[in-house]
Formats: sequence, structure tokens, C-alpha cells
Amino acid sequence: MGEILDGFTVAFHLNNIAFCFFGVLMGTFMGVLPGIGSVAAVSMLLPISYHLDPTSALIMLAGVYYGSEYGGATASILLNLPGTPTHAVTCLDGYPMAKNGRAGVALFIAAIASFFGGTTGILILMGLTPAVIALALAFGPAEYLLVICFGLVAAATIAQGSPLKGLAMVMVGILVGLIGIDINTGIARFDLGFFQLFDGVSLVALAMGLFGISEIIASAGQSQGTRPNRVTLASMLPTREDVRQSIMPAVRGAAIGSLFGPLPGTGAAISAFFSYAVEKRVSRKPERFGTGIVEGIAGPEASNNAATQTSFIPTLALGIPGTASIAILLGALMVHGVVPGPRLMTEHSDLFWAVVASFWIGNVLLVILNIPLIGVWVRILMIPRRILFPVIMCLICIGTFSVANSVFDVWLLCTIGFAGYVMRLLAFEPAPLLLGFVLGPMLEENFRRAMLLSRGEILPLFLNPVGLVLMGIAVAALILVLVPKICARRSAADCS
Amino acid sequence: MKGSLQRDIFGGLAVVAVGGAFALGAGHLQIGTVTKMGGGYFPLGAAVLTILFGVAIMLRAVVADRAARPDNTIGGVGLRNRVAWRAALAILGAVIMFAVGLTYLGFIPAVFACALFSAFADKASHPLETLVLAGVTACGSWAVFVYGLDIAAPAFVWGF
Repeated sequence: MGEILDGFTVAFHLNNIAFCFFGVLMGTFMGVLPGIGSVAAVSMLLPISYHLDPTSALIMLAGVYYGSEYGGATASILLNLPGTPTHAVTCLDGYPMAKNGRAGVALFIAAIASFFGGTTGILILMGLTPAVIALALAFGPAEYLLVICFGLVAAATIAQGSPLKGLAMVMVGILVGLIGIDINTGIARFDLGFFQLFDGVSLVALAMGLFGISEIIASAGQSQGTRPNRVTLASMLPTREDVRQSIMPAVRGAAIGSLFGPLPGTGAAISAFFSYAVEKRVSRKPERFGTGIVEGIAGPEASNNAATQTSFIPTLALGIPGTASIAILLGALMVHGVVPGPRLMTEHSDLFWAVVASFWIGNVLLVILNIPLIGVWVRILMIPRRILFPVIMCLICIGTFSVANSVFDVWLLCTIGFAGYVMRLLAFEPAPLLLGFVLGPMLEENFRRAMLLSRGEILPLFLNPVGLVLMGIAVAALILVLVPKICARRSAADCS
Repeated sequence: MKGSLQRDIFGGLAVVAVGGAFALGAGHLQIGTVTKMGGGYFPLGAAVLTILFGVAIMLRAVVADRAARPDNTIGGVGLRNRVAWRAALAILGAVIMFAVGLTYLGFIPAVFACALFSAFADKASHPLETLVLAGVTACGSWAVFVYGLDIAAPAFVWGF
């Protein structure tokens, strides 16, 4: 208990609150902009975080992460363009609500449901993480190997896109992650003679190239599309009926999000789809879904934010990132010399509790920010893309350069951006690649150790209790997810 | 349907190519044994798996196409139509301009060129507005990043 209070004390330091606020503000801003998802948002602010101490850096970046997940709802509702991929479901009922003139109410319900979901997620985070850490301390290399494999396979198969292509992307990501000097042998691998690649491919260049640049090329190539109408503060207040109808979906959504969030690799996107499908199934009048009803927003938004918060559990407890954005957060931590994993909570308990406390603060800030600032976000969405995109491109280039003051990284950015766009054209998802990139080295390390310990026997891996539990979860998740996902994909196809 | 077959064959081939490249590279490294892994063991294994996945993607595309052909004679959207050529050239060109500019001309010209090129991506851009935007962005970024955040990049350089 004392540690939690200590955490709050640190989090309430004026400069940490300032960083939290800055992170949440920038995150929401970038989440609002279509074309910049949470991965791009976190990568863009990553270079700034290098100048800060680890606690403040993590507070800021985490703020960017859940801020952008929050802000993505705005573009979905107003423009029918998901600001982040996890908000594709919010388009389904959000945009019709906006067309019916109820955009303000939709945004308000989204904000409140998100807050509720986020709070639930944080409570679960606080409760579960110590338990998971206790479990993880008993983990050996074989267990880590299994969890990482599970996370990668889950990320590739359960989330968007073709499972087979997702797995191929994970493998390519692992290969790219192997570029650089191998710690165990000291030899440089796959560096093509470039000394700048000795430390591996720059994470920011990879993330920005795969997500930012290809997304911008795709968006810029399309015509501008609809412009949002003005939203007044008064129009945002929901009716009593709206509130009554949103409560249970939000509760169910928060539960679903908290369930899917901790599973490495699954995360917010799938929980939003799942929540929508559940609401449709539970509702007494399912045919109303898609016409613009609050249940279609409250559920997915709550589950989204709950999943966003709880996805920190495997990250902080095991050091295994659940989503691409968190992978970048982990990269930032490692640069600061803080090794994520079960020992994080004991060795850096001040960092841990300060960050968790900042989640509370961040969530409150989000609600406070988003309700009055809605008008600002709408104005920003009205800025024509031809003005916005050049500025964003410059920020991307400068950010990539600034990480290591290296023009080489900018050339990398260009190559990866090209590859990322080609991938998009060929219908390959970039997120599994990024996860494979971050987790690849960990995978190799643990594989090496596990094989050493088991003297080359692979069979014990399959009989491992952790492995069996994970397999069970994977099978259950697949069953639970594939059926409604097919239904949700069919209706989501109308959205995008 | 044909468009998607083409796309997936290309995609599978690309994956096979990447895997093959890494497999060739791993050939230069020591492979070792399972218990005493050399630097090349894991990369080779991963590369082989990648190649297998690439082949699987191609096979699946062919099988899916064979299965769908009786009903579906509507031509799929070919790859060419959906490529945003102008946007791609503009955006990638902008990054190249930034890199070149930074090496030979300095920070401010680099950002200016980057913004200028990115604006080409959108057909609706007006030349004068773009020039002003590029200028403002260049000076603004210099103020924030070089002056404010101490990024090591000279404002103007003659690096030829």
C-alpha cells in the first residue's frame, strides 16, 4: 500500500504531471488525425523521451499511447475514418450517429465509456500484475520461449488480416531483428558492410516507415473525403435514455477488454470487435446496430481502453509487449537501461508504481481534455490534408534523424517506407512484423538457453505446464474470436 | 479474382525472396549444433521457416483461385490501378530530399525541401501556399528542434 502512495507522490510531481499532460495531449492529437495511429504517435515522441529520465519518459510515452487510442474515436465518429485501427468498429455506429446530427453525444459517450474502461483496466492492472510477477519469477527460458511464441502467433493470427500472411510477417520481422551484432558470438550479422547497422535497424525508422509513411502515402493518394460539421458543447449532452442504454454495454466492454488486453499479441483491436459482436448478440433489437445507437459505441470504446491499460500487464510483468506500440515503449525503456521483466517491480518499484499512478492521472486528464477540447479537434480535422501532411512528414524525418543523429537512419526510413507501402499493396499487415522485430532477439536468446538446458531435446517444451496452459488459452481464444470476428468483419467491410 | 491471385503470388514470392536472402547470408556464419549454437543457427532456421511461409502463401492463393473460378468471373482490381503513384513518389521523394538536404545543405533547406515535396502528394496543393508552408515549417522546426531541443544539425551547410 505504501508503495502505491509513493507512486502517487512521484506521479504528482509537477514535471511528471506536465509530461503526462503533454503525452496525453499529443497522443490524443495524433490519434485524432487520420493517418497517424498509436504506433506512429509513440514513435514520433520517442526521440524526445530519450532526453528525459526513465520514469518521466515512460509516463509521457504511456500517455501518448492511451491518449492516441482515445483520440482515434473522434475521427471514426466524425469522418468515418478510424484514427487508429482499433477504432474501426466505432465507425459502424459512430458515423451514422454523426449523420443523424448526434455527433456530440457520440463523442461524449465515447469519452465516458473510455474513461470507465480505462479505470477498470487500471484496477485490474494494479491487482493482477503482482500476481503475474510472482508467477513469472518461476519462469525459465523454456517458459519465456513459449510465451513469446504464443504472443507472436496470436498477434499474427488473431488480429487483422490473413493469418498466414501475418505469420510470414512475424518471421520477416524476426529476421530483420537479427541484423546487427550478435551478443553471444560477437559477430556482426547481415549488416551488408554498414557499420551503422551494428546496433541493428533503428526501431523508430522501422516503426515510422512501416506505419507512418505507408499510411500517409495511402491517405494522400485518396481524395480528401468528408469534412466534419461543427460540434458544440451543448450538443454533447446525452439524454437520460442514452445514459441508461450505455451502462451495461460499457460494463461488458470493460470486462471483455480486461480479458483480452493481458493476452500478449491480441489486445485492443480484437476486443473492440468482440465487444460489438457481443452487444449485437445480447441486444433485444440487434437490427438497430449500424443505424447509430449508443450501445455500438459504449461497448467497443470501453473495451478498447480497458484492453489498452491491461495490455501493460505482460509488458511490465514479463517484459513481453502485447502490441506494436508497447513494443516501442519497451524499446525506450531498454535505451534508458531499465530492463523490463519480473525484476522490474522489485528493482525499479518506484518506476513501476509511479507509472501506474500516472495512468490514473492520465485517464482523468483525458476526460477533462476531451470534452471541452472537442471543438479544437474538430477544427484540426478540418485542416486540409495538403497542409497537414507536409508538416507531419517533416516531423517524421526529423524524429528519425534525431534518435542517433544519423542520416543513415533517414535513408533506412526511406527504404522501409517503400517496403511498407509495397506490403500494404500486397495486403500484408505491418504490426506482426514490428512485434517479430522486437521479440526476435528475445526469442533467440531464450531458445538458445532452453536448448542448452534441455540438451537439445525439444519434446520437454511441449510437455511444459506453462506451454499447455497457453495452448489452452490460445485454442479458447481462437474459438471465441473467430466466429464473431467473421460476422464483425462482414459488417466492418461497409465501414472501410 | 485474378487480381488477388496475382497480388498474393507476388507477396509470397517477396517473402520467399527475403527468406532466401537471409538464408544465403546465414551461410557465411557458423551454424553449430542445437546445444552449441553458432551465430547462424537461429537465422538459418528462421529464414527456412520464412521461405516455407512464402511458399504456403503462394499455394493458398492458387488453391483459392482454383476454387473460386467457376463462380467468379469478375476481374479483380489489378495492382496497377490501386497504386497511389503520385503520392508514393512525392512522399518517398520528400524523405530522400531530407536526407540529401541534411548531408549537403543543412537542416533548414532539408526541412524546406521535405515539406515542398510532400505537398506534391496532394493534387489540390497551390504552389504559393506550399512555398509559404514549407518556409514556415522549416523555420519553425529549426526553432523547436535545433534551437530548443539541441539536436546536432547545422542550419546551413555547403557540403559539396
